[in-house]
Amino acid sequence: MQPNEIKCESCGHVNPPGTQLCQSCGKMINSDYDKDKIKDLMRYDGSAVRSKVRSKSIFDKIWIFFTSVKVGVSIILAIAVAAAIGTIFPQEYFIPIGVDAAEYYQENYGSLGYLYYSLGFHNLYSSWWFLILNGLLALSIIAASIDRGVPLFKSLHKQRVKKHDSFFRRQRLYLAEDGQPDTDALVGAFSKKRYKVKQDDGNFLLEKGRLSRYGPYINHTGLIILLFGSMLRFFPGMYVDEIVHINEGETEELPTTDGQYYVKNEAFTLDTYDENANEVFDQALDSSNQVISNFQTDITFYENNSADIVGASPELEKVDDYSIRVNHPYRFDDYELYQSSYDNSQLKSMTFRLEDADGNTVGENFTVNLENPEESFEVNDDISVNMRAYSPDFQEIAENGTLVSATPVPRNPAFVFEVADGGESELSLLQIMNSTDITQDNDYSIRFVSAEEHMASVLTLKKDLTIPFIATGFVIFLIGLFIGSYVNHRRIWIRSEDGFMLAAHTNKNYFGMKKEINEVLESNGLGKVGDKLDDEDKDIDKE
Amino acid sequence: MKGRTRNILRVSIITTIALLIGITVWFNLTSGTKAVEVGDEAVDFRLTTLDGEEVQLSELTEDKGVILNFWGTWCKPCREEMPDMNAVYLEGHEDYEIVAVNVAENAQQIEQFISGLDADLEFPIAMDQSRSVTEAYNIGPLPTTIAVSKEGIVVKKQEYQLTPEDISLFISEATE
Amino acid sequence: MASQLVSISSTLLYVAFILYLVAMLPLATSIKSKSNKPAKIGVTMVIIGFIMQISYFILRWIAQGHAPVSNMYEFITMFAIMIVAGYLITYFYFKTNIFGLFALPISMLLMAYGSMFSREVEPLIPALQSSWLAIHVITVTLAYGILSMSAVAGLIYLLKAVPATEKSWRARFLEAIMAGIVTVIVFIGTTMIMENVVGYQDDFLYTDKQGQNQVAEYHLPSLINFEGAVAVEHTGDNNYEEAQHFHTGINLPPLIDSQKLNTVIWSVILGAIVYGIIRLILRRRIIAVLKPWSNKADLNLMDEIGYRSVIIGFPIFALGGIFFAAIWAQIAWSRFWGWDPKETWAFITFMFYTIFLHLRLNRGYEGEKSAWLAIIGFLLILFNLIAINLLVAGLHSYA
Repeated sequence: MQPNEIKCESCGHVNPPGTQLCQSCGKMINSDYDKDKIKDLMRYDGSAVRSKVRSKSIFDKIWIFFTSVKVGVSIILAIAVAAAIGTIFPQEYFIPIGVDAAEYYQENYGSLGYLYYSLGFHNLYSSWWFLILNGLLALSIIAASIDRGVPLFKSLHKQRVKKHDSFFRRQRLYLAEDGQPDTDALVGAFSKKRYKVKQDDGNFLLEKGRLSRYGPYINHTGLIILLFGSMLRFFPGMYVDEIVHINEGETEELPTTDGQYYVKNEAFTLDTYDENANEVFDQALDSSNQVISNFQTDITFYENNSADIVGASPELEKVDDYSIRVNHPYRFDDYELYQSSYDNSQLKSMTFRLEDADGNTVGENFTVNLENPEESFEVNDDISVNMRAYSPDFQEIAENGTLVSATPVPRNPAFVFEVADGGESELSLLQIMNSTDITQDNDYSIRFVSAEEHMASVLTLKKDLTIPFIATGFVIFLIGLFIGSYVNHRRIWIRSEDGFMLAAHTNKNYFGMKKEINEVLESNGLGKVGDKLDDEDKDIDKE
Repeated sequence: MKGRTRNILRVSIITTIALLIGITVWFNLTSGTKAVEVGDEAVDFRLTTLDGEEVQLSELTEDKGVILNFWGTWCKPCREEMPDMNAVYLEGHEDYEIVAVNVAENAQQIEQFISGLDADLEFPIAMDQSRSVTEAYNIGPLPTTIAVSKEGIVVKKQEYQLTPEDISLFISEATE
Repeated sequence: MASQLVSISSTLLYVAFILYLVAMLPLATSIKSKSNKPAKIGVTMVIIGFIMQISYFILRWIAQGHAPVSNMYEFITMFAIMIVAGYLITYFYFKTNIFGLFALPISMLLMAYGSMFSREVEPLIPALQSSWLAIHVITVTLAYGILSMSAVAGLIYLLKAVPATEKSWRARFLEAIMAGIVTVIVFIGTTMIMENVVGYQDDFLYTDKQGQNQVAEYHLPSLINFEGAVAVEHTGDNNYEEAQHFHTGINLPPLIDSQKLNTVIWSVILGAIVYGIIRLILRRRIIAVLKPWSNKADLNLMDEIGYRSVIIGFPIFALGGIFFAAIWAQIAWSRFWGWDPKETWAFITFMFYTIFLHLRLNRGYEGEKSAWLAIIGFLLILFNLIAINLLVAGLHSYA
């Protein structure tokens, strides 16, 4: 006989065979429907799901709306789809820093990219609507858990040992024997399998793994903590993410620490795998250019003893030395300093030489520090070169004759040098790739020799006070998930009054339970339990 | 009684979540706007001037209003407003002080800039080489000018070039 | 010494592949046979192959000094091994002969696909130098291997439950999956033949997104190329000179990897042709041909396996793919979660299986519905494993 699907009379939802409470509205399904209920009947054991009892105020309506699994699944689906949309084009934090976002998306991804930007999808994961979706998920989890968890808890706590005949027959695993087997031995054998035994006259309830049923509620609790933690991210003071750019040899104040902490970049190292690395890498190292093996910044960590006034020159006291590498951040207070990248694009100094009219070098080369240039350079005993003007990022010569800089960054340096040779002096303007005499008939010319770049380490300063919440939440979630998934709640009812009857139920893995029961039954000289689903299958095969 | 407990539970959970979502969205939408606004307390600072002296805001505001002008030599409107400010300053500054806070440039650049002007700048030029003051005030574009009253409160702020009229307005705000 | 270990380990992997291929024969016979012998022979062969794969893993680990899970070849191979592991666990728990017949080919396809990537032993870049590399990747692939079993069970379920000649969407979708598998086989086959046997190679010089000159090696005639690509020929060292190559003249901006797209288009065309030929020879749907193999399957058992493998694999995935991943990301990249495309798709996979479990537990999605969901889940895993690495440049792109 094929079990029927059950259509709920009140909402019309079609439930699989064996359902006792409608999966959609939770109404008790007509009690005199086909007694051959198999699958889902033990879920709430007759306790009415709370939200289905009555409905009144607007809060009740909201609540009931969010208790629905359908709504919960829709929210999860919406979040997943939104997350997928966010990967179509890179998010804003992946595009180069300092680039205009609108332009970037337009230029790289065409009008589709512009649309993506206009809809705010370039910052999807922190958009207000994504946050609200997560909030709704939290509400759905809480409402659904309370609504289902409380009746479940009650029904599992006040289980009756004695069950009606029809109850036995309705179970998926069922056995009836005419004789009177040794029930005590049987129960003993089950309790060896760690079943807890409850007895009521000749009725027994054997149960184990009840914790499994609470797994979902434990993991939902974890998720709520996690969602709460991720919300805290947006609260001021909970989260710091700053980039610290330190040139080699320099000391920088760490942002957001109110001037309390300073870091000196003692040395930045960039190592590549060389030929002496493991021989197995030879082939890979030959074919690709260079593989980086290590980024490292050796730092000295200082605390400032006069941090109370902004801008005052710090009184630094050394606290620590550390080598920051990828995967090995430096920790202090609630902060962590990570090796992020490096920057060698900024000019540090330029070296020049002085040439006479015949093209011979005069005296020593001189080096101009572009951050803090000196005013005068002695080339030899008689001749000195004076820097009359300097522009780090040359733009134009102003009306008053000074050099105008476009930015303060030494990107395109230009100089006016004066060569003083005893009494005489001559001026020339030097730019990258170009030099112009200012005074006429110059005897000397200044030539560019070399330039040196800054080696700057780029560190990430991070503080995230939400981590304890999120980690705790996720660990609880995992514990709940493993309990719910790996532990099986198994119950066996035995009745030895007027004949012997045994019925069994589990929340999952009937296959394993059948094996366990049959093993015990066989060793006690009893037959195997019947599995209603197997019977059906045979029926279908015969057709 | 059971019904009442349930109602309280439902109402409080729904309102808590709505409230938390609201606060989070609000924080999210308003984040990044922590720049100094009119009405805020001015952050005290101490910087070294070009002449090698120390200047501290709280000492200045003891008996004077202060105008803070954040600038750089490479910024055109800054260069243009400097002589105007200097002219007004020379007319007398008994009840106010101007502090031109240079953002992260070296003395050579500043001196070079001043030497190109017709007249020397009379007000102190404070050098914020580590940008710590600029960051404490969350300065965006240059020039930014802020008037601080004797009570140490920000009373006026402008993020573009000052005209001579603007300068007078700043002075009157700071000395009020 | 170490180099020898690498070559031994590669050979072991190759032999294991052959062994699986041969094992298909007794496994197929076992379904119709009354005796238990063919099944035993087949499974024994699979076990030997599996031990060889484990030895590959250990030897390669010893040789290169880090767990062999750091590039696409190693990662996909690991996934293929875990599918065999998943199969063996399922077999010994449920004693179902039919399972191997469908699980092994999937694993072999993945092994073949993985071997198309560079098999070189590579040193680790700084971000990967962490013991979390092994912990994270091994748990994730284990979870993937177990979750894949639900798709295998789903496939068998559908092959049996869906009438092969039915004019319905479910039958067409199932047939479309078969056509997709044919396309993948054709793709792997043609690429290997054109590259290694025929030795077809057309080089094109083009300018990439960053404005740098690159040379694309086309192993299939160029249908689609990069904007401004010039046909060149390699003349030793780093020198190229202009040459004449076949090209249709269709060019796309460098945002799209035309070389990969070219391969995809060829695979789809050839796949369609091969599929058409198969249909002409068979004169019926592929699912109709496979159906007899699935008829012995127990639908309830398949449904049970499908559900059990999700319920066992999902917590492991949450542990390895989300939790361990987050810990490592916090240490290496300073943030435990950054919505990087790979992370996002792991999240989507996680959400998908969450939906699967809720639908199954609360809305009665059992049997056929559950089988379809299991197959979609597997496609999501494949998408995240392969497509994301190839399509989107992110922190995880080690291809």
